[in-house]
Amino acid sequence: MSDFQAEKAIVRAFHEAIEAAEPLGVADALARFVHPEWHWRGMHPFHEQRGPEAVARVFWEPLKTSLQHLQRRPDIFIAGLNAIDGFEGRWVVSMGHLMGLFDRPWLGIRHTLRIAMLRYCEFNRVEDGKIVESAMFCDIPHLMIQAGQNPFPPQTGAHLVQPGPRTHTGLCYEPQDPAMGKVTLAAIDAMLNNPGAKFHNQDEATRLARVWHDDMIWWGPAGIGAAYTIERYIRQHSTPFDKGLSVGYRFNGHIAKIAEGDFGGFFGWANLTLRNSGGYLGMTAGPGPADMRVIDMYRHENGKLAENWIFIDILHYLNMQGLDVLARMDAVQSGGG
Amino acid sequence: MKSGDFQAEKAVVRRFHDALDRAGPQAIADAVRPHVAQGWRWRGVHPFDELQGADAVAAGFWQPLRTALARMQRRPDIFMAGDNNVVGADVKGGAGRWVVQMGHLLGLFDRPLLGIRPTGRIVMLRFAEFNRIEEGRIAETLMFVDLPHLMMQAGQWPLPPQTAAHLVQPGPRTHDGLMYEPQDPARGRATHAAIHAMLANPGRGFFVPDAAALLAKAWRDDMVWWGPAGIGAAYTIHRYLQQHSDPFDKAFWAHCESLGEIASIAEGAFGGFVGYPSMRMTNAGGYMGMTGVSGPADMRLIDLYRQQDGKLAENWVFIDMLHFLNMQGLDVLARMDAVQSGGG
Repeated sequence: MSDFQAEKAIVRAFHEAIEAAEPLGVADALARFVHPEWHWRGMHPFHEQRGPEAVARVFWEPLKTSLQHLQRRPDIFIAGLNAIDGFEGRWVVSMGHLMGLFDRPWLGIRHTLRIAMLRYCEFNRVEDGKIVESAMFCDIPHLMIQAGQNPFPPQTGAHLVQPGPRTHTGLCYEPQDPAMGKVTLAAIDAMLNNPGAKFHNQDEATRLARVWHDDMIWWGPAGIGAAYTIERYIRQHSTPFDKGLSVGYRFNGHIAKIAEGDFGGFFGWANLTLRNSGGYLGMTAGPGPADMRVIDMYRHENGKLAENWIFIDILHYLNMQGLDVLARMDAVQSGGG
Repeated sequence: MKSGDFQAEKAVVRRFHDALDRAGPQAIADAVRPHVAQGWRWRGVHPFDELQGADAVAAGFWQPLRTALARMQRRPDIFMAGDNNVVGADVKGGAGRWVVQMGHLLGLFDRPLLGIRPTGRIVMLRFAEFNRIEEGRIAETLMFVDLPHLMMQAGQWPLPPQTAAHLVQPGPRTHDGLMYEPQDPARGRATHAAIHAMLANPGRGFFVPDAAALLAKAWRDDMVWWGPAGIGAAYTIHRYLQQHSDPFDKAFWAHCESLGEIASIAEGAFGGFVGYPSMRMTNAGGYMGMTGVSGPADMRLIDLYRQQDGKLAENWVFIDMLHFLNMQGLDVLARMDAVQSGGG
């Protein structure tokens, strides 16, 4: 089958079942769509889980208990063959927000009785009609900021609940022309392989302009924020990254990379291993290298990249450096430290 | 032969402050020169660090500060004097007569200071100053100001949420800290003894099982720990443990060493000490909401205390947090300036 309608149908039904289930019914709902040995990767403090019961217990039950009337609001929905494994694996990706009423505490974060929108992006590998492997990233610090509990020093970029693609063409429920996906993949690869010094480049703006539109938007995670235009992207993300993380930078590769229509992206586990030499995220220099688990999603337009949504497990990255953000914030808000 | 009281030394420092405060920013060096020794040794917080002589101190510290904080008004809460090296063996500054002042420098924050944006409004800069007097002049000064506290007042909070309370801090509850007149030396000795009892409290250490009982031997239960910005102020032994002592233990149990003090004095119900630095430690992670670090960093410290009925009742703490963080690779001022300029 050259299109991905069967795989998309499974993931859509899977999402509908999660949304319809009561918190305690999520495990049964998941079990209808996933392999019993389902390999699930999530954010700190969830990390890796196996099988529907474990995933329901650590992630969905507490989340649906806290964010009541949970409503999925996808902005991107695409499928494709994995460019990392020789175009064998069939992956379906959903990105957007999980919206709910923040009615009970979650992970020590105080509830607000108001709307909260949890940024998420999920990669699912479908095999023989079941989801066998997933990476479910969500932006927990972004929720903390929405709830008035910013755990971080001031960030370089803007904090805002982020919109989906400017073009509103991200929900690819129908079959797409495979040629478009190939062009998008080529634009992503051109960015990844962009020649020239990756760090401290004297003319980084020119280098970036080869692969990015000048009015690009980097929709970054909480702790960094969103940056608009190449010039501000350099100042608000790229330069601080260079200053803090270029020494000892290690790229570990990706697990899945797909593209469909104008959209594509990848995830790794962990993509990068980095030591903060001081200042990154407003933190002191780190004790040693730490892992950065990342999902990057892109919108392509006329051969260049126009938008980029980024999910980084910052809580894990900091926890590996001795800072348990959730535990400390819970303690601080309980009058301790 | 020195007199038994410290009226002469206090007069030197009062004249110095009067001359300093009266002079316009450009005239400060000339105004203070008659009151300080040649080669005056001055030590401040990051980024001022060490300066020598009236010209350098005026150009490096007072001119920028007075230019930024217009119409500066000195509002002291403690003024005291004493002979050094009375508390114990941990004092390394040698013999000397010291005069200490603590309080706030109030001004209109009308121009940028160190990249901190002005507000056009009142700010109150916490300070504590140790001055050593020799032959009628100030020979040596340690002047600590709480710059992160000023940043927070100006709406430019540079650090993660702190464990204790942020507020402009009052002086002593008793309002008897301004000791312009001679004091009974016996009271100063009692205050020394109370500070020493706290420092030498048996069983003191990390993760003490019954820390509250241990602290209650040296502190009153309604003690107030007026800490620096980044930690904040904590009230009662119970909250002091929760909001300062426990986070400190968790971060520094593996490495924390005392480097000794430069001066330690007491007069009346008040006393305290200064070190530059006082301590060297390694953050295992979490302290001030920061990640752990690979190596040690120094804490320059001023601690001032109020004694009541043999125990400590209040403690004003000045830590050079910007220096401590800078030694760990985080230049707070530079990063905040960049962040507020739309970069990082």
